[in-house]
Amino acid sequence: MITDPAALITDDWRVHGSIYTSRELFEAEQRAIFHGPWLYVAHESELREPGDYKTTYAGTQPVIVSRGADDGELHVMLNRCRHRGATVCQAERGNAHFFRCPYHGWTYRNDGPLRGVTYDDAYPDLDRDALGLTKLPRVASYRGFIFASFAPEGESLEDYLGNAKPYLDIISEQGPDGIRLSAGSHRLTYGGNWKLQVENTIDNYHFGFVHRSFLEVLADRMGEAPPIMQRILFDETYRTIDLGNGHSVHEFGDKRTGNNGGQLGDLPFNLIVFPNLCFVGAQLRHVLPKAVDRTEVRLYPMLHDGASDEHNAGILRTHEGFYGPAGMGGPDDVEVAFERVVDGLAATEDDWLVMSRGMHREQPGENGTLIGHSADEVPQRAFYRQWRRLMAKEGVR
Amino acid sequence: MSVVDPVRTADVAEFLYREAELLDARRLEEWLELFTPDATYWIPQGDDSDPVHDVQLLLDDRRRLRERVLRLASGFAYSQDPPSRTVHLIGNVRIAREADDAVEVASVQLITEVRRDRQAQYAGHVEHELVPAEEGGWRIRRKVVRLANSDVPLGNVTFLL
Repeated sequence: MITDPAALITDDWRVHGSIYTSRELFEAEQRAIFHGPWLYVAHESELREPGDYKTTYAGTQPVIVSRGADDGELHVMLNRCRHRGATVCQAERGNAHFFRCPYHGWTYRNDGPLRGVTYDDAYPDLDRDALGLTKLPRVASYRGFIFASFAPEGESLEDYLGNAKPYLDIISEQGPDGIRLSAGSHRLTYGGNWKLQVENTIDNYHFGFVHRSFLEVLADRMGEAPPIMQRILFDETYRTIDLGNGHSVHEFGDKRTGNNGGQLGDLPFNLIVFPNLCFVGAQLRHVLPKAVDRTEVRLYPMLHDGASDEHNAGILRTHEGFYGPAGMGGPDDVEVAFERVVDGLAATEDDWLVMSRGMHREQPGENGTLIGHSADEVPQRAFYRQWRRLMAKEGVR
Repeated sequence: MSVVDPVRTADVAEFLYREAELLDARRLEEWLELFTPDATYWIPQGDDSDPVHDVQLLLDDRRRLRERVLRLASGFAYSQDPPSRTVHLIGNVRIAREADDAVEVASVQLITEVRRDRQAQYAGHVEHELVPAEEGGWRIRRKVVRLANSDVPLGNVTFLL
Protein backbone atom coordinates (compact mmCIF):
# COMPACT_ATOMS: atom_id res chain seq x y z
CA MET A 1 0.00 0.00 0.00
CA ILE A 2 1.16 3.53 -0.78
CA THR A 3 0.90 5.46 2.46
CA ASP A 4 2.05 8.86 1.19
CA PRO A 5 -1.03 10.48 -0.44
CA ALA A 6 1.19 12.69 -2.59
CA ALA A 7 2.64 9.55 -4.20
CA LEU A 8 -0.82 8.40 -5.31
CA ILE A 9 -0.85 11.00 -8.08
CA THR A 10 2.18 11.35 -10.33
CA ASP A 11 3.37 14.52 -12.05
CA ASP A 12 2.14 13.19 -15.39
CA TRP A 13 -1.29 12.50 -13.86
CA ARG A 14 -1.27 8.79 -13.28
CA VAL A 15 -3.66 8.21 -10.38
CA HIS A 16 -3.48 5.14 -8.18
CA GLY A 17 -6.62 2.97 -8.01
CA SER A 18 -6.41 2.68 -4.23
CA ILE A 19 -7.84 6.21 -3.90
CA TYR A 20 -11.19 4.54 -4.58
CA THR A 21 -10.69 1.30 -2.69
CA SER A 22 -8.45 1.82 0.34
CA ARG A 23 -10.23 1.86 3.69
CA GLU A 24 -7.26 3.68 5.22
CA LEU A 25 -7.50 6.44 2.62
CA PHE A 26 -11.23 6.73 3.18
CA GLU A 27 -10.64 7.21 6.91
CA ALA A 28 -7.90 9.75 6.17
CA GLU A 29 -10.35 11.61 3.89
CA GLN A 30 -12.83 11.84 6.73
CA ARG A 31 -10.17 13.66 8.77
CA ALA A 32 -8.54 15.71 6.00
CA ILE A 33 -11.46 16.61 3.73
CA PHE A 34 -14.64 16.16 5.73
CA HIS A 35 -13.33 17.47 9.06
CA GLY A 36 -12.02 21.00 8.78
CA PRO A 37 -12.79 22.39 5.33
CA TRP A 38 -16.21 23.91 4.62
CA LEU A 39 -18.97 21.42 3.84
CA TYR A 40 -22.31 22.18 2.19
CA VAL A 41 -25.23 21.17 4.42
CA ALA A 42 -28.43 22.92 3.27
CA HIS A 43 -30.04 25.67 1.23
CA GLU A 44 -31.80 28.52 3.03
CA SER A 45 -35.04 27.83 1.16
CA GLU A 46 -35.27 24.62 3.20
CA LEU A 47 -35.08 26.62 6.44
CA ARG A 48 -37.17 29.73 5.92
CA GLU A 49 -39.12 29.85 9.19
CA PRO A 50 -37.82 29.88 12.77
CA GLY A 51 -37.83 26.28 13.98
CA ASP A 52 -37.37 24.78 10.52
CA TYR A 53 -34.85 21.96 10.38
CA LYS A 54 -33.48 19.29 8.09
CA THR A 55 -31.29 16.27 8.73
CA THR A 56 -28.31 15.49 6.55
CA TYR A 57 -24.67 14.47 6.79
CA ALA A 58 -21.37 16.28 7.24
CA GLY A 59 -19.01 13.67 5.82
CA THR A 60 -20.28 10.43 7.38
CA GLN A 61 -21.63 12.17 10.49
CA PRO A 62 -25.40 12.71 10.83
CA VAL A 63 -26.24 16.34 11.53
CA ILE A 64 -29.28 18.53 12.08
CA VAL A 65 -29.38 21.91 10.38
CA SER A 66 -31.88 24.22 12.05
CA ARG A 67 -33.07 27.78 12.14
CA GLY A 68 -33.30 28.67 15.81
CA ALA A 69 -36.88 29.03 17.04
CA ASP A 70 -35.75 31.89 19.28
CA ASP A 71 -32.79 33.50 17.54
CA GLY A 72 -33.62 32.80 13.87
CA GLU A 73 -29.95 31.92 13.31
CA LEU A 74 -28.64 28.86 11.47
CA HIS A 75 -27.23 26.03 13.58
CA VAL A 76 -25.56 22.77 12.61
CA MET A 77 -25.29 20.06 15.28
CA LEU A 78 -24.57 16.38 15.49
CA ASN A 79 -27.72 14.27 15.46
CA ARG A 80 -26.68 12.27 18.50
CA CYS A 81 -28.01 12.33 22.03
CA ARG A 82 -25.27 13.27 24.49
CA HIS A 83 -26.59 10.64 26.93
CA ARG A 84 -26.36 7.29 25.13
CA GLY A 85 -26.00 8.23 21.50
CA ALA A 86 -29.37 7.74 19.77
CA THR A 87 -30.29 10.13 16.99
CA VAL A 88 -32.64 12.77 18.40
CA CYS A 89 -34.29 13.69 15.09
CA GLN A 90 -35.63 11.16 12.59
CA ALA A 91 -37.50 13.27 10.06
CA GLU A 92 -35.83 14.50 6.88
CA ARG A 93 -37.26 17.95 7.49
CA GLY A 94 -39.81 19.71 9.63
CA ASN A 95 -40.37 22.42 12.19
CA ALA A 96 -39.78 21.93 15.92
CA HIS A 97 -38.85 23.95 18.97
CA PHE A 98 -37.30 20.93 20.70
CA PHE A 99 -35.72 17.60 19.84
CA ARG A 100 -36.55 14.90 22.35
CA CYS A 101 -34.50 11.72 22.40
CA PRO A 102 -36.90 8.78 22.42
CA TYR A 103 -34.47 6.55 24.35
CA HIS A 104 -34.60 8.18 27.83
CA GLY A 105 -36.39 11.41 27.10
CA TRP A 106 -33.52 13.92 27.16
CA THR A 107 -34.73 17.08 25.45
CA TYR A 108 -32.74 19.68 23.54
CA ARG A 109 -33.71 23.11 22.28
CA ASN A 110 -33.69 23.22 18.47
CA ASP A 111 -30.49 25.28 18.56
CA GLY A 112 -28.71 22.72 20.74
CA PRO A 113 -28.81 23.40 24.51
CA LEU A 114 -29.91 20.57 26.79
CA ARG A 115 -33.20 21.64 28.34
CA GLY A 116 -34.65 18.56 29.98
CA VAL A 117 -33.24 15.48 31.73
CA THR A 118 -35.89 13.05 32.94
CA TYR A 119 -35.86 11.95 36.61
CA ASP A 120 -32.76 14.04 37.10
CA ASP A 121 -32.46 13.53 40.88
CA ALA A 122 -30.19 10.62 39.96
CA TYR A 123 -27.58 13.09 38.64
CA PRO A 124 -26.41 15.21 41.58
CA ASP A 125 -23.79 17.11 39.57
CA LEU A 126 -24.69 16.85 35.89
CA ASP A 127 -23.11 19.69 33.90
CA ARG A 128 -26.04 20.46 31.62
CA ASP A 129 -24.36 23.42 30.02
CA ALA A 130 -21.68 21.11 28.64
CA LEU A 131 -24.17 18.54 27.35
CA GLY A 132 -25.99 20.36 24.59
CA LEU A 133 -26.03 18.80 21.13
CA THR A 134 -22.48 19.08 19.77
CA LYS A 135 -22.34 22.07 17.45
CA LEU A 136 -20.20 22.47 14.38
CA PRO A 137 -18.31 25.57 15.44
CA ARG A 138 -18.57 27.47 12.17
CA VAL A 139 -21.68 27.94 10.04
CA ALA A 140 -21.86 30.41 7.16
CA SER A 141 -24.10 31.04 4.21
CA TYR A 142 -23.30 32.33 0.74
CA ARG A 143 -26.20 33.38 -1.52
CA GLY A 144 -28.46 30.93 0.31
CA PHE A 145 -26.05 27.99 0.29
CA ILE A 146 -25.28 26.98 3.88
CA PHE A 147 -21.92 25.48 4.78
CA ALA A 148 -20.45 24.31 8.08
CA SER A 149 -17.03 23.33 9.35
CA PHE A 150 -15.79 21.17 12.19
CA ALA A 151 -12.77 23.49 12.55
CA PRO A 152 -13.22 26.40 14.98
CA GLU A 153 -10.87 28.53 12.88
CA GLY A 154 -9.82 28.68 9.27
CA GLU A 155 -10.36 30.61 6.08
CA SER A 156 -13.70 32.32 5.61
CA LEU A 157 -16.39 30.67 3.47
CA GLU A 158 -16.04 33.42 0.87
CA ASP A 159 -12.29 32.87 0.61
CA TYR A 160 -12.85 29.13 0.37
CA LEU A 161 -15.43 29.46 -2.42
CA GLY A 162 -13.17 31.92 -4.24
CA ASN A 163 -13.64 31.75 -7.99
CA ALA A 164 -16.76 29.57 -7.59
CA LYS A 165 -18.68 32.52 -6.13
CA PRO A 166 -19.77 34.19 -9.42
CA TYR A 167 -21.24 30.87 -10.53
CA LEU A 168 -23.13 30.42 -7.24
CA ASP A 169 -24.41 33.99 -7.76
CA ILE A 170 -25.84 33.03 -11.14
CA ILE A 171 -27.40 29.81 -9.78
CA SER A 172 -29.04 31.73 -6.94
CA GLU A 173 -30.60 34.09 -9.52
CA GLN A 174 -32.06 31.41 -11.80
CA GLY A 175 -35.70 32.17 -10.96
CA PRO A 176 -37.37 35.60 -10.98
CA ASP A 177 -37.14 35.60 -7.17
CA GLY A 178 -34.32 33.10 -6.78
CA ILE A 179 -34.40 29.35 -6.30
CA ARG A 180 -35.90 26.94 -3.82
CA LEU A 181 -35.25 23.31 -2.93
CA SER A 182 -38.84 22.45 -2.10
CA ALA A 183 -39.47 19.51 -4.45
CA GLY A 184 -37.70 16.86 -2.37
CA SER A 185 -34.84 14.87 -3.80
CA HIS A 186 -34.01 11.78 -5.76
CA ARG A 187 -31.87 9.56 -3.58
CA LEU A 188 -29.74 6.85 -5.08
CA THR A 189 -27.10 4.54 -3.76
CA TYR A 190 -24.30 2.66 -5.40
CA GLY A 191 -21.62 0.25 -4.30
CA GLY A 192 -18.59 2.42 -4.99
CA ASN A 193 -16.48 5.31 -3.77
CA TRP A 194 -17.98 8.82 -3.45
CA LYS A 195 -15.34 10.44 -5.67
CA LEU A 196 -16.57 8.45 -8.68
CA GLN A 197 -19.81 10.47 -8.64
CA VAL A 198 -18.12 13.84 -8.11
CA GLU A 199 -15.59 13.37 -10.90
CA ASN A 200 -18.26 12.07 -13.27
CA THR A 201 -20.31 15.25 -12.79
CA ILE A 202 -18.14 17.24 -15.19
CA ASP A 203 -16.73 14.64 -17.54
CA ASN A 204 -17.73 15.67 -21.00
CA TYR A 205 -15.52 13.00 -22.53
CA HIS A 206 -17.95 10.28 -21.39
CA PHE A 207 -21.18 11.83 -22.58
CA GLY A 208 -21.25 10.47 -26.10
CA PHE A 209 -20.35 6.99 -24.91
CA VAL A 210 -22.20 6.32 -21.66
CA HIS A 211 -25.24 8.34 -22.77
CA ARG A 212 -25.44 7.18 -26.34
CA SER A 213 -28.93 5.75 -25.75
CA PHE A 214 -30.08 9.16 -24.48
CA LEU A 215 -28.55 10.84 -27.51
CA GLU A 216 -30.63 8.51 -29.67
CA VAL A 217 -33.72 9.58 -27.74
CA LEU A 218 -32.78 13.23 -28.30
CA ALA A 219 -32.25 12.62 -32.00
CA ASP A 220 -35.72 11.08 -32.18
CA ARG A 221 -37.19 13.97 -30.19
CA MET A 222 -35.54 16.66 -32.32
CA GLY A 223 -35.63 14.93 -35.70
CA GLU A 224 -31.88 15.48 -36.12
CA ALA A 225 -28.61 14.75 -34.36
CA PRO A 226 -28.57 16.69 -31.07
CA PRO A 227 -25.97 19.46 -30.98
CA ILE A 228 -24.46 18.64 -27.61
CA MET A 229 -21.65 16.35 -28.78
CA GLN A 230 -20.51 18.68 -31.57
CA ARG A 231 -20.40 21.52 -29.08
CA ILE A 232 -18.46 19.50 -26.49
CA LEU A 233 -15.92 18.42 -29.07
CA PHE A 234 -15.56 21.49 -31.28
CA ASP A 235 -17.11 24.64 -29.78
CA GLU A 236 -14.25 26.71 -28.37
CA THR A 237 -16.57 28.70 -26.13
CA TYR A 238 -17.24 25.46 -24.23
CA ARG A 239 -14.55 25.43 -21.57
CA THR A 240 -13.61 23.49 -18.47
CA ILE A 241 -11.98 25.62 -15.77
CA ASP A 242 -10.01 24.71 -12.67
CA LEU A 243 -11.29 27.43 -10.32
CA GLY A 244 -8.82 26.66 -7.54
CA ASN A 245 -9.45 25.11 -4.09
CA GLY A 246 -10.71 21.95 -5.84
CA HIS A 247 -13.66 23.71 -7.51
CA SER A 248 -14.29 23.50 -11.26
CA VAL A 249 -16.81 24.50 -13.87
CA HIS A 250 -17.89 23.57 -17.39
CA GLU A 251 -19.14 26.61 -19.27
CA PHE A 252 -21.48 26.22 -22.25
CA GLY A 253 -20.46 29.47 -23.85
CA ASP A 254 -21.76 32.52 -22.01
CA LYS A 255 -21.96 31.72 -18.33
CA ARG A 256 -25.34 33.41 -17.92
CA THR A 257 -27.13 32.34 -21.07
CA GLY A 258 -25.34 29.18 -22.20
CA ASN A 259 -27.35 26.11 -23.13
CA ASN A 260 -25.71 22.87 -24.16
CA GLY A 261 -28.76 21.60 -26.04
CA GLY A 262 -28.75 18.39 -24.02
CA GLN A 263 -32.25 18.88 -22.57
CA LEU A 264 -30.91 18.04 -19.12
CA GLY A 265 -32.01 21.21 -17.32
CA ASP A 266 -31.51 24.91 -17.77
CA LEU A 267 -28.35 25.74 -15.77
CA PRO A 268 -25.95 27.53 -18.13
CA PHE A 269 -22.94 25.57 -16.78
CA ASN A 270 -22.02 22.63 -14.56
CA LEU A 271 -20.21 23.40 -11.32
CA ILE A 272 -18.35 21.34 -8.72
CA VAL A 273 -17.73 22.87 -5.29
CA PHE A 274 -15.12 20.78 -3.51
CA PRO A 275 -15.54 18.25 -2.08
CA ASN A 276 -19.10 17.00 -2.58
CA LEU A 277 -21.46 19.68 -3.89
CA CYS A 278 -22.33 19.71 -7.58
CA PHE A 279 -24.68 21.60 -9.87
CA VAL A 280 -25.76 19.98 -13.10
CA GLY A 281 -28.88 20.13 -15.26
CA ALA A 282 -31.28 21.95 -12.95
CA GLN A 283 -30.22 20.15 -9.82
CA LEU A 284 -28.15 20.58 -6.71
CA ARG A 285 -26.33 17.29 -6.18
CA HIS A 286 -25.06 16.36 -2.71
CA VAL A 287 -22.72 13.37 -2.65
CA LEU A 288 -22.64 11.57 0.70
CA PRO A 289 -19.81 9.15 1.43
CA LYS A 290 -21.03 6.20 3.50
CA ALA A 291 -18.06 3.83 3.35
CA VAL A 292 -15.10 3.44 1.03
CA ASP A 293 -17.32 1.34 -1.24
CA ARG A 294 -20.76 2.84 -0.56
CA THR A 295 -22.21 6.21 -1.51
CA GLU A 296 -25.58 7.92 -1.33
CA VAL A 297 -26.36 10.72 -3.76
CA ARG A 298 -29.18 13.22 -3.27
CA LEU A 299 -30.39 15.15 -6.31
CA TYR A 300 -32.44 18.22 -5.43
CA PRO A 301 -34.18 19.86 -8.40
CA MET A 302 -33.92 23.63 -7.98
CA LEU A 303 -37.31 25.24 -8.59
CA HIS A 304 -37.65 28.87 -9.63
CA ASP A 305 -39.18 31.17 -7.03
CA GLY A 306 -41.64 33.55 -8.59
CA ALA A 307 -42.24 31.29 -11.62
CA SER A 308 -45.50 29.53 -12.46
CA ASP A 309 -46.37 26.03 -11.29
CA GLU A 310 -46.33 25.00 -14.93
CA HIS A 311 -42.77 26.27 -15.39
CA ASN A 312 -41.58 24.48 -12.25
CA ALA A 313 -43.36 21.24 -13.14
CA GLY A 314 -41.47 21.46 -16.45
CA ILE A 315 -38.18 21.67 -14.52
CA LEU A 316 -39.17 18.52 -12.62
CA ARG A 317 -40.16 16.56 -15.72
CA THR A 318 -36.95 17.49 -17.56
CA HIS A 319 -34.93 16.45 -14.50
CA GLU A 320 -36.76 13.12 -14.18
CA GLY A 321 -36.21 12.42 -17.88
CA PHE A 322 -32.46 12.00 -17.39
CA TYR A 323 -31.77 11.77 -13.65
CA GLY A 324 -32.82 9.69 -10.68
CA PRO A 325 -33.13 5.93 -10.29
CA ALA A 326 -35.56 5.67 -13.23
CA GLY A 327 -33.96 8.33 -15.44
CA MET A 328 -32.79 7.75 -18.99
CA GLY A 329 -29.23 8.91 -18.25
CA GLY A 330 -28.12 8.89 -14.62
CA PRO A 331 -28.49 5.13 -14.12
CA ASP A 332 -26.13 4.55 -17.06
CA ASP A 333 -23.50 6.52 -15.12
CA VAL A 334 -24.15 4.34 -12.07
CA GLU A 335 -23.77 1.22 -14.19
CA VAL A 336 -20.68 2.16 -16.16
CA ALA A 337 -18.85 4.96 -14.37
CA PHE A 338 -19.32 3.61 -10.86
CA GLU A 339 -20.16 -0.08 -10.66
CA ARG A 340 -18.19 -1.35 -13.67
CA VAL A 341 -15.26 0.81 -12.50
CA VAL A 342 -15.50 -0.82 -9.08
CA ASP A 343 -15.49 -4.25 -10.71
CA GLY A 344 -12.49 -3.35 -12.85
CA LEU A 345 -10.52 -1.81 -9.99
CA ALA A 346 -10.41 -5.23 -8.34
CA ALA A 347 -7.71 -5.99 -10.93
CA THR A 348 -4.95 -4.40 -8.87
CA GLU A 349 -1.96 -5.98 -10.59
CA ASP A 350 -1.33 -2.72 -12.46
CA ASP A 351 -3.23 -0.23 -10.33
CA TRP A 352 -2.63 3.05 -12.17
CA LEU A 353 -5.22 5.16 -14.03
CA VAL A 354 -4.68 7.92 -16.60
CA MET A 355 -6.05 11.39 -15.84
CA SER A 356 -3.87 13.48 -18.16
CA ARG A 357 -6.34 14.26 -20.94
CA GLY A 358 -5.69 17.79 -22.23
CA MET A 359 -3.02 18.50 -19.62
CA HIS A 360 -0.67 19.94 -22.26
CA ARG A 361 -3.22 22.55 -23.36
CA GLU A 362 -4.34 23.90 -19.97
CA GLN A 363 -4.01 27.67 -20.16
CA PRO A 364 -3.71 30.01 -17.19
CA GLY A 365 -6.72 32.30 -16.78
CA GLU A 366 -7.59 35.09 -14.36
CA ASN A 367 -7.20 34.70 -10.59
CA GLY A 368 -5.07 31.57 -10.82
CA THR A 369 -7.58 29.57 -12.86
CA LEU A 370 -6.61 26.95 -15.46
CA ILE A 371 -8.69 26.70 -18.61
CA GLY A 372 -9.04 23.66 -20.86
CA HIS A 373 -11.21 22.22 -23.59
CA SER A 374 -14.67 20.92 -22.84
CA ALA A 375 -13.80 17.22 -22.96
CA ASP A 376 -10.47 17.54 -21.14
CA GLU A 377 -9.91 16.18 -17.64
CA VAL A 378 -9.44 19.65 -16.15
CA PRO A 379 -12.19 19.21 -13.50
CA GLN A 380 -10.75 15.88 -12.38
CA ARG A 381 -7.29 17.40 -11.97
CA ALA A 382 -8.77 20.42 -10.18
CA PHE A 383 -10.42 18.07 -7.72
CA TYR A 384 -7.35 15.89 -7.13
CA ARG A 385 -4.96 18.84 -6.79
CA GLN A 386 -6.95 19.94 -3.75
CA TRP A 387 -7.43 16.35 -2.57
CA ARG A 388 -3.69 15.78 -2.69
CA ARG A 389 -2.97 19.06 -0.87
CA LEU A 390 -5.35 18.27 1.99
CA MET A 391 -4.43 14.59 2.21
CA ALA A 392 -0.68 15.27 2.18
CA LYS A 393 -1.16 17.58 5.16
CA GLU A 394 -3.11 14.90 7.01
CA GLY A 395 -1.19 11.78 5.99
CA VAL A 396 -2.41 8.22 6.39
CA ARG A 397 -2.24 6.64 9.84
CA MET B 1 -71.01 -0.46 -1.61
CA SER B 2 -71.11 -1.46 -5.23
CA VAL B 3 -72.04 -4.91 -6.39
CA VAL B 4 -69.08 -7.05 -7.42
CA ASP B 5 -69.33 -8.32 -10.96
CA PRO B 6 -67.03 -11.36 -11.02
CA VAL B 7 -67.08 -11.68 -14.80
CA ARG B 8 -66.06 -8.09 -15.36
CA THR B 9 -63.38 -8.32 -12.63
CA ALA B 10 -61.99 -11.47 -14.23
CA ASP B 11 -61.94 -9.69 -17.58
CA VAL B 12 -59.83 -6.75 -16.35
CA ALA B 13 -57.62 -9.07 -14.31
CA GLU B 14 -56.93 -11.09 -17.43
CA PHE B 15 -55.88 -7.85 -19.13
CA LEU B 16 -53.44 -7.06 -16.28
CA TYR B 17 -51.96 -10.56 -16.56
CA ARG B 18 -51.44 -10.11 -20.29
CA GLU B 19 -49.80 -6.74 -19.72
CA ALA B 20 -47.47 -8.29 -17.12
CA GLU B 21 -46.64 -11.12 -19.48
CA LEU B 22 -45.50 -8.63 -22.13
CA LEU B 23 -43.33 -6.80 -19.57
CA ASP B 24 -41.76 -9.97 -18.22
CA ALA B 25 -41.04 -11.14 -21.78
CA ARG B 26 -39.66 -7.66 -22.59
CA ARG B 27 -42.01 -7.38 -25.56
CA LEU B 28 -41.97 -3.65 -24.93
CA GLU B 29 -43.22 -2.40 -28.29
CA GLU B 30 -46.31 -4.55 -27.93
CA TRP B 31 -46.65 -3.33 -24.34
CA LEU B 32 -46.46 0.28 -25.55
CA GLU B 33 -49.34 -0.40 -27.93
CA LEU B 34 -51.56 -1.11 -24.91
CA PHE B 35 -51.45 2.60 -24.02
CA THR B 36 -53.76 5.24 -25.47
CA PRO B 37 -52.19 8.25 -27.27
CA ASP B 38 -53.08 10.46 -24.27
CA ALA B 39 -51.80 7.96 -21.70
CA THR B 40 -49.94 8.70 -18.47
CA TYR B 41 -47.44 6.33 -16.87
CA TRP B 42 -46.55 7.46 -13.36
CA ILE B 43 -44.33 6.15 -10.57
CA PRO B 44 -44.70 8.61 -7.69
CA GLN B 45 -42.00 9.15 -5.11
CA GLY B 46 -43.29 9.14 -1.54
CA ASP B 47 -46.81 9.22 -0.18
CA ASP B 48 -49.13 12.10 -1.11
CA SER B 49 -46.67 13.21 -3.73
CA ASP B 50 -47.85 16.06 -5.90
CA PRO B 51 -46.32 16.06 -9.39
CA VAL B 52 -46.64 19.82 -9.78
CA HIS B 53 -44.54 20.52 -6.69
CA ASP B 54 -42.61 17.33 -5.89
CA VAL B 55 -40.06 15.30 -7.77
CA GLN B 56 -41.34 11.93 -9.02
CA LEU B 57 -39.50 8.76 -9.98
CA LEU B 58 -41.09 9.29 -13.36
CA LEU B 59 -44.19 10.82 -14.87
CA ASP B 60 -44.38 10.00 -18.57
CA ASP B 61 -46.76 11.01 -21.25
CA ARG B 62 -47.09 8.64 -24.16
CA ARG B 63 -44.29 10.40 -26.03
CA ARG B 64 -41.76 9.93 -23.25
CA LEU B 65 -42.92 6.38 -22.63
CA ARG B 66 -42.19 5.67 -26.28
CA GLU B 67 -38.74 7.23 -25.77
CA ARG B 68 -38.08 4.85 -22.90
CA VAL B 69 -38.95 1.88 -25.07
CA LEU B 70 -36.81 3.28 -27.88
CA ARG B 71 -33.88 3.77 -25.49
CA LEU B 72 -34.12 0.24 -24.13
CA ALA B 73 -34.14 -1.11 -27.67
CA SER B 74 -31.16 1.00 -28.75
CA GLY B 75 -28.52 -1.46 -27.62
CA PHE B 76 -26.73 1.31 -25.69
CA ALA B 77 -28.82 1.51 -22.52
CA TYR B 78 -26.03 0.22 -20.29
CA SER B 79 -28.13 0.22 -17.12
CA GLN B 80 -30.19 -2.47 -18.87
CA ASP B 81 -27.26 -4.35 -20.37
CA PRO B 82 -27.77 -7.10 -19.42
CA PRO B 83 -31.51 -6.46 -19.07
CA SER B 84 -33.41 -7.05 -15.85
CA ARG B 85 -35.36 -10.29 -15.66
CA THR B 86 -38.67 -9.55 -13.99
CA VAL B 87 -41.57 -11.54 -12.59
CA HIS B 88 -44.80 -9.65 -11.94
CA LEU B 89 -47.06 -11.28 -9.36
CA ILE B 90 -50.48 -9.65 -9.40
CA GLY B 91 -53.13 -9.91 -6.72
CA ASN B 92 -56.07 -8.21 -5.00
CA VAL B 93 -57.50 -7.19 -8.37
CA ARG B 94 -60.74 -5.30 -8.03
CA ILE B 95 -62.70 -2.68 -9.89
CA ALA B 96 -62.31 0.51 -7.88
CA ARG B 97 -64.65 2.67 -9.95
CA GLU B 98 -66.77 2.50 -13.08
CA ALA B 99 -67.07 5.68 -15.08
CA ASP B 100 -68.96 6.35 -18.32
CA ASP B 101 -66.06 5.65 -20.61
CA ALA B 102 -63.50 4.00 -18.31
CA VAL B 103 -62.96 1.50 -15.55
CA GLU B 104 -60.47 2.05 -12.75
CA VAL B 105 -58.76 -1.11 -11.60
CA ALA B 106 -56.81 -1.47 -8.36
CA SER B 107 -54.30 -4.24 -7.82
CA VAL B 108 -51.19 -5.03 -5.83
CA GLN B 109 -48.07 -6.18 -7.59
CA LEU B 110 -44.89 -7.78 -6.36
CA ILE B 111 -42.18 -7.34 -8.94
CA THR B 112 -39.08 -9.44 -8.50
CA GLU B 113 -36.15 -8.17 -10.50
CA VAL B 114 -32.90 -10.02 -11.14
CA ARG B 115 -29.91 -8.42 -12.76
CA ARG B 116 -26.14 -8.82 -12.53
CA ASP B 117 -26.19 -11.35 -9.68
CA ARG B 118 -28.59 -9.27 -7.63
CA GLN B 119 -32.24 -9.73 -6.81
CA ALA B 120 -34.49 -6.85 -5.84
CA GLN B 121 -38.17 -6.70 -4.98
CA TYR B 122 -40.55 -3.87 -5.65
CA ALA B 123 -43.99 -4.12 -4.07
CA GLY B 124 -46.67 -1.61 -4.85
CA HIS B 125 -50.27 -0.63 -5.19
CA VAL B 126 -51.08 -0.24 -8.85
CA GLU B 127 -53.90 1.71 -10.47
CA HIS B 128 -55.01 1.23 -14.06
CA GLU B 129 -57.53 3.41 -15.83
CA LEU B 130 -58.74 1.29 -18.72
CA VAL B 131 -60.81 2.36 -21.69
CA PRO B 132 -62.44 0.03 -24.21
CA ALA B 133 -60.36 -0.59 -27.33
CA GLU B 134 -62.03 -0.25 -30.72
CA GLU B 135 -61.09 -3.80 -31.63
CA GLY B 136 -62.32 -5.10 -28.28
CA GLY B 137 -60.49 -5.53 -25.02
CA TRP B 138 -58.85 -2.64 -23.20
CA ARG B 139 -56.36 0.17 -23.54
CA ILE B 140 -54.49 1.85 -20.67
CA ARG B 141 -55.15 5.56 -20.29
CA ARG B 142 -53.37 5.86 -16.97
CA LYS B 143 -51.10 3.56 -15.00
CA VAL B 144 -49.83 4.50 -11.55
CA VAL B 145 -47.37 2.31 -9.64
CA ARG B 146 -47.17 3.34 -5.99
CA LEU B 147 -44.11 1.53 -4.72
CA ALA B 148 -43.71 0.84 -1.01
CA ASN B 149 -40.01 1.68 -1.34
CA SER B 150 -40.32 4.69 -3.65
CA ASP B 151 -38.70 7.08 -1.17
CA VAL B 152 -35.79 4.99 0.07
CA PRO B 153 -32.48 5.33 -1.76
CA LEU B 154 -32.84 3.17 -4.86
CA GLY B 155 -30.36 1.73 -7.29
CA ASN B 156 -31.44 1.07 -10.83
CA VAL B 157 -35.15 1.20 -11.74
CA THR B 158 -34.66 1.52 -15.48
CA PHE B 159 -36.65 -1.58 -16.41
CA LEU B 160 -40.33 -0.91 -16.99
CA LEU B 161 -42.77 -1.69 -14.22
